[in-house]
Amino acid sequence: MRYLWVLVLFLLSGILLPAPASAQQTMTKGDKNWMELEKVLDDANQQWLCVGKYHKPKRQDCVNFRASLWVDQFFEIYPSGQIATKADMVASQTAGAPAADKLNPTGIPGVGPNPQDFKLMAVYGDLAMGVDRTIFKTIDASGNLVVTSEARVLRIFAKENGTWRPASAALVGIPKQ
Amino acid sequence: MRYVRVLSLVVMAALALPAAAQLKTSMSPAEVAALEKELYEVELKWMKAEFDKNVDGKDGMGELWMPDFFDVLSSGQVVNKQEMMDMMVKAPNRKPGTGAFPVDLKLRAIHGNVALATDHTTIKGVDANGNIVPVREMSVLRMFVKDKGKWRVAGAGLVGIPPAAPPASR
Repeated sequence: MRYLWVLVLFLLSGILLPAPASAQQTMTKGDKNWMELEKVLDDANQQWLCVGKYHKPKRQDCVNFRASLWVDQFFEIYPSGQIATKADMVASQTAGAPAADKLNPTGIPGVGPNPQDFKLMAVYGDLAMGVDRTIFKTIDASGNLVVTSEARVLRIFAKENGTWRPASAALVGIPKQ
Repeated sequence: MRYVRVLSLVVMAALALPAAAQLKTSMSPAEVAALEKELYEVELKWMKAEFDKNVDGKDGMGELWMPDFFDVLSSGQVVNKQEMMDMMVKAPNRKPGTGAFPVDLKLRAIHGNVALATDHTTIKGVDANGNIVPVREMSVLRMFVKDKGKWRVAGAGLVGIPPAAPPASR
């Protein structure tokens, strides 16, 4: 019977131990944990937008990739003020993928959104809020990358099963610098 | 046998915990409507606090806003709690009936103790003839945090809607 109690204690420890890990990591603005999380989220942001080492030459590959990252409740406010759900965005970006590939047939990196200066602003448990400046680029008639617009973006990430995933964004258009 | 029952209860509790955690994202329509109403009331207090320049009083900005509050303004400027309060306090006194008027708050997501919502906000001002007129329309992402059992404001992203905006394309 003593072994049964050992088993009970073992199971109890299994239930209780994950709790601190899923609770908000102790951090204050600017400390080591904060800076580390900012880096993790900056990387998650690069994945979200298929830039840097996450670049996908084919547009549909990027749409599929980011759809796998977005949480189910994901939504975004475009610079026009239009609000789109995850399903809306997957549908519209899939519909636009052939035209995007036609514009950029060789998959030159840099076309589309380019986030810069990501800054972590607040963390509440498994939800983190940050801002960045995102520069949108396209290819002109001469084949050069040109800036079409810029936005200050509020980006929100949720930690699910140990991974930070994009949860939402609001894109505020700003003048080109 | 008694110990086996205890063990069974422990195992059942272990299995039930993740299920309880998932309930937060599967609210009934009535629960969603009730929470939207509650958050909208917080939002109206938030707007009133800004209009009244209420910093330290009951339902003032200091009380309603979380310490890490921040706003992304429709200009793209990012301001923290203190900067936003200073901005509100320094703004010229406004005529009653002007200011920010949010409608159609819609709950979009719940993540733990954070609720994310959107609304349509109209900024009203005064024209050259002294009449109150809408001067700007915005779609706003509003962030709320349940802090010690009470919903407080974490911040907002204010996206101005251009007049006759064309459909978005990205």
